[in-house]
Amino acid sequence: MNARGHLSSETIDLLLLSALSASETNEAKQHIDGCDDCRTRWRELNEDKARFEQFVFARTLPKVEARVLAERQGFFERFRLKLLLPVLAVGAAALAVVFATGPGTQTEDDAYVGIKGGASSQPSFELFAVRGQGSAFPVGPGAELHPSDRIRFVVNPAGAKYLLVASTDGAGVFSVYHPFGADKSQPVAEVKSKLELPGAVELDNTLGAERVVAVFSDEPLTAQQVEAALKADAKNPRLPGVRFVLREFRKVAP
Amino acid sequence: MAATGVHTGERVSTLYRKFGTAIFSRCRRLLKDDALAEDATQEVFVRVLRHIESAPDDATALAWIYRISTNYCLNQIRDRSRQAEPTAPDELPEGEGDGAGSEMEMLDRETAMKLIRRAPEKLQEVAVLYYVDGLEQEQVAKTLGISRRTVINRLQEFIDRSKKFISRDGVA
Repeated sequence: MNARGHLSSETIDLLLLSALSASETNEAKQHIDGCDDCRTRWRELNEDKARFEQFVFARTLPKVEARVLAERQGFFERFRLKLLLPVLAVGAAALAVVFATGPGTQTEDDAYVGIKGGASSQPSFELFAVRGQGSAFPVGPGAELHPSDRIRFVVNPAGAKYLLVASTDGAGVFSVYHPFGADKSQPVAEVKSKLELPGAVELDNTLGAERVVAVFSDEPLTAQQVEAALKADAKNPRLPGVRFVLREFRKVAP
Repeated sequence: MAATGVHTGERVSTLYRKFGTAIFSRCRRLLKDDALAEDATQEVFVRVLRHIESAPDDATALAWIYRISTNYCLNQIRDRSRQAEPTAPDELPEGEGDGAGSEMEMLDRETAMKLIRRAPEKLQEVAVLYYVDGLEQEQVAKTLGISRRTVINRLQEFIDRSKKFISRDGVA
């Protein structure tokens, strides 16, 4: 029960999902029995459940499945194929060079800082965007995106153990995009090639140049460390043992 | 971190069945239009899917659902009001309130939504989660990824603006 004497939406939704403990369930049900407002909300939620299951679910599931499939297969596989073809031709050791010449990629603004290894050990970071219901497109140098475009990330950690993706927008505001809103980097899966990060970030209305950076490291980093490094040198951030890969685009009004 | 991969239709279907009601009910409540709510449910579910797949528990999944569905529905409401009303919703008069603030805590959801629609964009999410969903300030802060102090400040600004609006026009 909240401070205003009612059950929160969270409690009522969890009750419907049977996700409350036995004592919490009893407490919630007792409250509902004695509170007109909460009883009304509980009844409405059950009516919505019946309506959703009877009509909405069957009507919309095919569209939802198609959308999810298109996003997950079409989005990543299409561009992975495009990017891997030149990689296969030239060889993995020349990955960075391939990125410079491959479709929708960019290197001029790349900053690779910190532990230096062979070319094959360099991590990579790519941005893709989706506008409205359209197809995904790679975000290359000088790309112009719009508010409400959704951006997604593909990385090759190249053996790095931790990853954080952050942004500094046109107003100079720092945000963590992956893990979204987190205050530190997160362990990254061990993959031999590329990894599409879960989730998408919907761009807000702040216009101007936005710089997105993937930060690869072998030890966990705090968002504060990354923010400080970017404030110290936005184009060439440095932290000991840390690899930064930068991407930049412009956000303009449609 | 969830690995890249294509989940089966069965997995998507199971999650949609499980969380679809929470999304649909919320969209219906905010948009007050069954057809729009149905469209919004699909869109929100696709956007929230990856988060709920990797959420450690149902409460975390619901927090993502609240955040994304609130944002989506408020955008829909703003789009509609821009088409229908030439004046910005935050252009409220600067006159003094009449003491309605003490009643703000007891606002019913319908009244709250009327006031929220007229509030500036930055206050709407916080006000929906607090007044419509009945979340505590701390829960609102966690859901939106902002500090509790910011939540308190935005709620206070919402109350101040609502008092002026109620004083001028009432809420009917």
